[in-house]
Amino acid sequence: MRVQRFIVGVLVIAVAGCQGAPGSQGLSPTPQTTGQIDESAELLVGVGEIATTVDPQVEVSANAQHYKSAVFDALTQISSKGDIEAALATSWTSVDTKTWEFKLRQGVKFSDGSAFTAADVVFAIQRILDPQTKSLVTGRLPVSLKADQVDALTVRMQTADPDPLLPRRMSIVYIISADGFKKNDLSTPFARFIGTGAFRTTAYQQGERIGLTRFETSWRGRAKLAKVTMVAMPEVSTRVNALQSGQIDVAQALGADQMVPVQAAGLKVISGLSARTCMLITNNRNGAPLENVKVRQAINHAIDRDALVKNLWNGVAAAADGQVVGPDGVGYNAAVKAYAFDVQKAKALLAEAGYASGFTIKLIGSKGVFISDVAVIQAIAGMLQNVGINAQLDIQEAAAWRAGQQAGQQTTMVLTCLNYFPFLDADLPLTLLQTSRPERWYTNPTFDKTFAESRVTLDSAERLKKLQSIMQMLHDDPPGVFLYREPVIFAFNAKIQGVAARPDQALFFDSISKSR
Amino acid sequence: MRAPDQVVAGGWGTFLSLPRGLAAAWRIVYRLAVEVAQLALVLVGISTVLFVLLRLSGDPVSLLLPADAPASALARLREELGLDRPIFEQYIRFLVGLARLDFGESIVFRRPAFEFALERIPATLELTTASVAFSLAVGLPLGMVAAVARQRLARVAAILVAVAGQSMPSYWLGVLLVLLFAVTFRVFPVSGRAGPESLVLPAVTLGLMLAGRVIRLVQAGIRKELSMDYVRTARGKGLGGKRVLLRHVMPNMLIPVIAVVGVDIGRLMGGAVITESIFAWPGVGRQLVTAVLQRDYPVAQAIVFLVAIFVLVINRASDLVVRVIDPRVRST
Repeated sequence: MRVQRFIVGVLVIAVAGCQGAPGSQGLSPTPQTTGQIDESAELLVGVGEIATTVDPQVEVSANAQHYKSAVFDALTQISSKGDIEAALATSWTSVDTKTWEFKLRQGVKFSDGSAFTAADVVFAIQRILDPQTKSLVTGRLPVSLKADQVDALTVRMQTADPDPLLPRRMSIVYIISADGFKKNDLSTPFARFIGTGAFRTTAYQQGERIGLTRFETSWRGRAKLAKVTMVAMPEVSTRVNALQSGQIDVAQALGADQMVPVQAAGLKVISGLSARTCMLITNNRNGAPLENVKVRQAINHAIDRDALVKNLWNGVAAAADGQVVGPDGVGYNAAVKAYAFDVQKAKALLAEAGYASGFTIKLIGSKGVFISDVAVIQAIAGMLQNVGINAQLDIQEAAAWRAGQQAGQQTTMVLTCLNYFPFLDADLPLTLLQTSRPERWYTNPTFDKTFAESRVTLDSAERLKKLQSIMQMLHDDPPGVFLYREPVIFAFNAKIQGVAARPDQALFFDSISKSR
Repeated sequence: MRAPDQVVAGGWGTFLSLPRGLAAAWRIVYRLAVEVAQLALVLVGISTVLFVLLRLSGDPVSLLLPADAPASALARLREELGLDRPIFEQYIRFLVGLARLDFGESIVFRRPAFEFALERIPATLELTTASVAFSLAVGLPLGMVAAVARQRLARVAAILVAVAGQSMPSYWLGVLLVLLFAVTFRVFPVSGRAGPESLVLPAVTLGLMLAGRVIRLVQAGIRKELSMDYVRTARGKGLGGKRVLLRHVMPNMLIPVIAVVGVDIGRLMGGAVITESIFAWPGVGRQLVTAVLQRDYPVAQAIVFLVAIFVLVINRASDLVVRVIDPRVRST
């Protein structure tokens, strides 16, 4: 009898569990009441990856951005709308074509109580560029960059060539206390990295967990959270389950397919657009048929971007505006419109180009490099089939795809996604379309010339004009199809306020609060 | 003619005639040396295969730097990491490092890879040990139930557990357990390693398959042993069924169980890769996945090396235990 009761009990629990699966009717939402802000609260965040180091001057990955923006400041910062804003520098001017001068904020203190000065900025630049540091930030700074202290609150930076992006580049140079670093306190992994941000680091387990505590007298103001703990949960399903069980307050980087069940469980979801545009490259460097501009225009007309957004992204992504940046990116041209989805026009253009009966071509996709990459490339192959283009799918593992990209072996059509964060500027993705790049995706001498000019034009209005003319150029002689901007999705419980889905995909803890 | 106090020693000692005491010592030393040599050979072999596979899997520099980084930045980082050297030179450096347990610095975490891997081994060992304990705690009694219970329903239920344990993949079972016990009933945490309660779901997920094997092994073993002459003799002497089972049958049954568990611990450490990912358990399994995805060669090599050592040592240890408790094996 006991055994029978045991079996019946197990079956009852199993049935109850099946009924309680997320998204089903059986799961009762966890009602939460929004009350007064709890200033002694700890925020628990489930993230995909923890910053691999607490040194803010080494890593550049998006995963480190939550931590870096909480604990440290740079001279400048980029707003969600793409505007450059003052941070530790209050103003900046170009002294001559190769020199920028930054005036620093007065009265800023590091979390150890010491004062922030120009010496800390010079130290940061020197340390990042020192090969011993092995900093990945160097990939986004001019090799020739030099910084000199003019006075306690003025720094001059020089480059070998004019660099209009330098003030934006300074948004990724996070400042630590030079004196604090030189003390070489190795008692904890984070003791040497003292910042001026709204939080200071108080715990770090590499790859697993970061603990932050409010820095009460930060120049940024007093944060509404006393503590923040970020915990690594690599699987999205783990983050969602942890949120539903109450183990964490905020889950980072959800997939579009998780939004409905999470909302059904009584949790909040916020989504925005990342500064990342996915595109189908139509390589024009390898002869027929893609060297013919009409063929590339036909491919643009053949792709139904709205259908991709609706069916594969549940409508939370956004179809790209026929260019590589969105309205939040410098260089955006509102006059440029995406090619309309028009199968008849695509067929007509193919006929004009001499391919009335279509052609066969290799379509390269990746597996796991970009979100939903396999599903997207399969959908594109189907759309191309409708206009007579027989796309032979070549879906490659991540390593093979990246190796092929670097070796310039993606000679036909390939799905890729291009970031324009952290600077929210078209310069970053456009770099990859230059004739000189190892990817060998696109060639257009007029584009190369205008882009090179834009990179040394210090006048921001003049530079914007050049970038906008490039957007028109890339519309008329397309390097591919600008498909969609990926979404940024966060989920959180009802006690949490102030979560924003920013283009750089980072959580900004200063604005987040937790109710009692 | 050999003197009566001299015997033939093993291995090279075959060519020597040694006094009895020395011969025994020689045999131990010889056996130990052979074991260590085999272990070293296996470890070098595993490490070499891994070295080649990782180098074939792609370039870590392209993952570390942003896609728009100039070629000069890629070249500079490659040089800093020593990846610009010829592959043969990299291999020689790797072998020299291996001899000193120096796998180099983690490409991603910027610290000694072996030290980083060592930090994570306790979590994986804790999970593996808990899984083995769970599988034995479930497998032994249910195996007995399956073999000797009078109620058919009890026998069927025990076999059902065995079949379920062996047929449910851990990535499915883990998620199911989380939904049931963490999300719905909120009895255990979803993930992480914070206290004994966080160990329960990962240990059950990882250990249920082995529990199924143990149930089947114990059931078949008991049935076989019960037909042996010594059992009939014990019963003939008037011993009760329970006493025969626990005092006479079970010790004999444990021999194959120990052998299987010894071999399966290696499989469990392999399975930990999935379980640790599902439960965000901070062990070497999860880190191995991350290291391979990030092409962090030094960390991946250090982890595989450490796991290989543990698996080999545990396999050897289980062999020794079987030798100790089974005179038949000892005599061979």
